[in-house]
Amino acid sequence: MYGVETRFGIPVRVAGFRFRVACLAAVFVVATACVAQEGKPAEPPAADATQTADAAAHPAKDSKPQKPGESDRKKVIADQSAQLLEMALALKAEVDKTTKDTLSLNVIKKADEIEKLAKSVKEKMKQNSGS
Amino acid sequence: MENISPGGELAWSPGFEGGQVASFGDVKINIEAYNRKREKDIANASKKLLSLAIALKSDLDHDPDSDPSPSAMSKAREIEKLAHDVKETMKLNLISPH
Repeated sequence: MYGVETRFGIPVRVAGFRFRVACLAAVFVVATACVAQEGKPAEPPAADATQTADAAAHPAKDSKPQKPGESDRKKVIADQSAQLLEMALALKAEVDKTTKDTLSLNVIKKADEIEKLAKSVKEKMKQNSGS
Repeated sequence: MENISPGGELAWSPGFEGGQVASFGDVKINIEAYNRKREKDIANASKKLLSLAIALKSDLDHDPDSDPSPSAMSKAREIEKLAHDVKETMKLNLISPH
């Protein structure tokens, strides 16, 4: 199939072989480059990049360090203030029922409970602000 | 032992507006007027207590993650004081014997 004639002193068959090797090498290089490109992670969106930069610039802005148990105490304060509101409503209802000549033991009892609960809330708030 | 009970010297007499007046030495108390004022004081205190409880809860709900503000602390203190006043005022109920 291949002739034996030469061009520029090189046999044509040898020149074809070298050409094919060169082509294969080029294809291999291109294929390797493509595979390497696909393996790269996708570029993050611009917003993510901004957020990352922000987080790096202000590491303690959003994540405020909390002492252990502090969130529990805040939850207790919130629960107790809700309970305080319910008891204040009950006290008002009880007071509305009494007349000027009555001594309502229920009012005394409810007011006493509110006093104790308000004191507890106040003390917990002091602990929070003091810590 | 000296008798410190006011029972022996406490006198009752009809008041200016028809109510009873308790006299203890020079001190005269119009029972009717006293109880009316007492009722008004208790009603006002319980009303104020309720509005403070609503305001306190609103303060704490507004920003649950932050520390309680000095204003919230002052509201809790005021609620405690008002509840104490309501309790003590309610205990001082004067009933005339007539």
